[in-house]
Amino acid sequence: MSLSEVLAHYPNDQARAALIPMLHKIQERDGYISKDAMTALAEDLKLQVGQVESTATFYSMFRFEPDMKHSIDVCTGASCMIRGGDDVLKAVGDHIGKKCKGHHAVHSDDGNFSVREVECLGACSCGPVMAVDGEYYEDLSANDIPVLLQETADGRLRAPGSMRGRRLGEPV
Amino acid sequence: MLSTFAAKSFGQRGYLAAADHIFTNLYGQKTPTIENAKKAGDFKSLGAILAGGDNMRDEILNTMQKAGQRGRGGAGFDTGAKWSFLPRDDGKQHYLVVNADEGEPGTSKDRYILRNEPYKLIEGMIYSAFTIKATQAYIYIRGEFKEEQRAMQKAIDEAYKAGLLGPRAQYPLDVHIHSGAGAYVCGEETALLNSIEGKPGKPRHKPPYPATQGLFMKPTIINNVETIAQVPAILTRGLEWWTSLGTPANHGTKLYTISGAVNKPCTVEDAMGVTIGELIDEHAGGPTGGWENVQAIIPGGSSTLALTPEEARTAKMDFDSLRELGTEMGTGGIIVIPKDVDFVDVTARMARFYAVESCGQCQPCKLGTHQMATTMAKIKAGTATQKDADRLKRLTKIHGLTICALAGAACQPIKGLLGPFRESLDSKLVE
Repeated sequence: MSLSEVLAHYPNDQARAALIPMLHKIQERDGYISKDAMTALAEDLKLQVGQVESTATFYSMFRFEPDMKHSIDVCTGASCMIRGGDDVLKAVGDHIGKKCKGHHAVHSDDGNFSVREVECLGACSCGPVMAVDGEYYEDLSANDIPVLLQETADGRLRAPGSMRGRRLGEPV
Repeated sequence: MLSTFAAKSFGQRGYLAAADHIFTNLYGQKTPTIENAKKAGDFKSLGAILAGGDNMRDEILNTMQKAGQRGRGGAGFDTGAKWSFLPRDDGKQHYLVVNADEGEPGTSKDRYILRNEPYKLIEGMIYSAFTIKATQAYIYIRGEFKEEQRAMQKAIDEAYKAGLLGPRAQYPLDVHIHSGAGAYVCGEETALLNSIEGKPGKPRHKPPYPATQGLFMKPTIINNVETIAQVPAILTRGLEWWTSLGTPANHGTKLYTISGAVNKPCTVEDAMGVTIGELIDEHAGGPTGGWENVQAIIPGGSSTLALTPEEARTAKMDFDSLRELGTEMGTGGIIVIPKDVDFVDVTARMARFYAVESCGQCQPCKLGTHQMATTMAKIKAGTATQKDADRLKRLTKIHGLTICALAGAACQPIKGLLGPFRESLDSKLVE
């Protein structure tokens, strides 16, 4: 989708509204958002670079440095924590051989994974939850982690959803 | 009048007879397609309602004002009252915005509507936009909800193709998805509007309210996904049915998220006003280890004050009953905390959340949530003194001093720790 296609969703005098959609596209294209990309975007939208930067840096999903091949976001919100989310995080850390803590990315030495703790992912009835390249893997236990990460590294990660095979959210 | 409790004698789980459910495809039992939705009855009354012109608009507004539908996004503001604040015939461009920024910890319900019942949301949006004379609508979906965004876009495309949306539809309405990018505060309605506008998601001063100055400073109605998705049922099944469910001024059905230490964590639809104990026992298989194992229950997401198991068991899940108990219904996100989880750990985790998510524009929140988080970390590490506990108490004064409710929300887990669950704090203080 081009800039003009994005702009078509907003009134003509509201070019700034295209900022977040365009920042997402830049990150999808380049893996992160560079200073050059923000400068170019500012020019296209007739904004100051500072306006683009102030928006981009406000939001936690935007990265300003590239990740390794795969982004792993482990939810450690309160509901997931009660059901073992911290054990899942520890299992990820054990698998890549580095302690994974905090919102800043921890990169694996083999170049495969960038791991972050994230705040509540909004899948609380199916916790613990982890996002692999943005797709949610739910009803997790620590035991699932080595398998899922190996599948990811091998390029044959199973489809997202519940690791217990239930329909998401269903009381079973 | 049909009692909400009569339904139980029909042998149904919960207090909702099968026929009273709105979201019959909540788990995607049938593949979500527009054909399946139409077979299930969606859009059946669309033509007749939209043909009614301004008289129908008045009738819809009247119905919504009598319905006692409390906003399902957490604040519980009456939907009909909100709609009535928009100056319908001012000739300005109006907007309908749907808040799908589901981010309140413990809450996971709107995602199932986006994935599996998107057509009910679209139909509700058409009726709502028709009523407020909005021809443009945005659904703001949190950035992390990739699958939900895909599913909603597919449903929107199908609706355009079927002639239900677009400039040549019976009611001309364009629907756009706008993705968030990871900010809990964007669930606050005015922060959300700023976010659509391409700005940092910092809340605005209210008044003015969105109904008079909203998106792009135009009159805007912004409602939660569940709120709008229930509108077709209210209009087509009628007030008598809707008000037969729930409790006074808290009518209808609600999607409850039940998480934490329960045997069957789930998202379920039941009547407003059912007790927390009934919800946990009927739907979630009871607490793990039984009720003896429950330490605390949060009724409506992390921004609501925790209850003791005794209080929670008989507490009715409606906005007014829970306010009488000093807590809030919020989003209906019930979190069960067991005895073997340290209440200090849960509080520390929640304190971290609010500190990270504070937008930073109000000093009491920016500094206060940060200090709550660092003080909780100290308590968790076992190096805190009574002075630190006293600081926590002083920090709860940030409630009410800020532009938005995030500061007040951050105070609730702290208040819980300083209140009925004080023991886990006291046992950790040194000196």
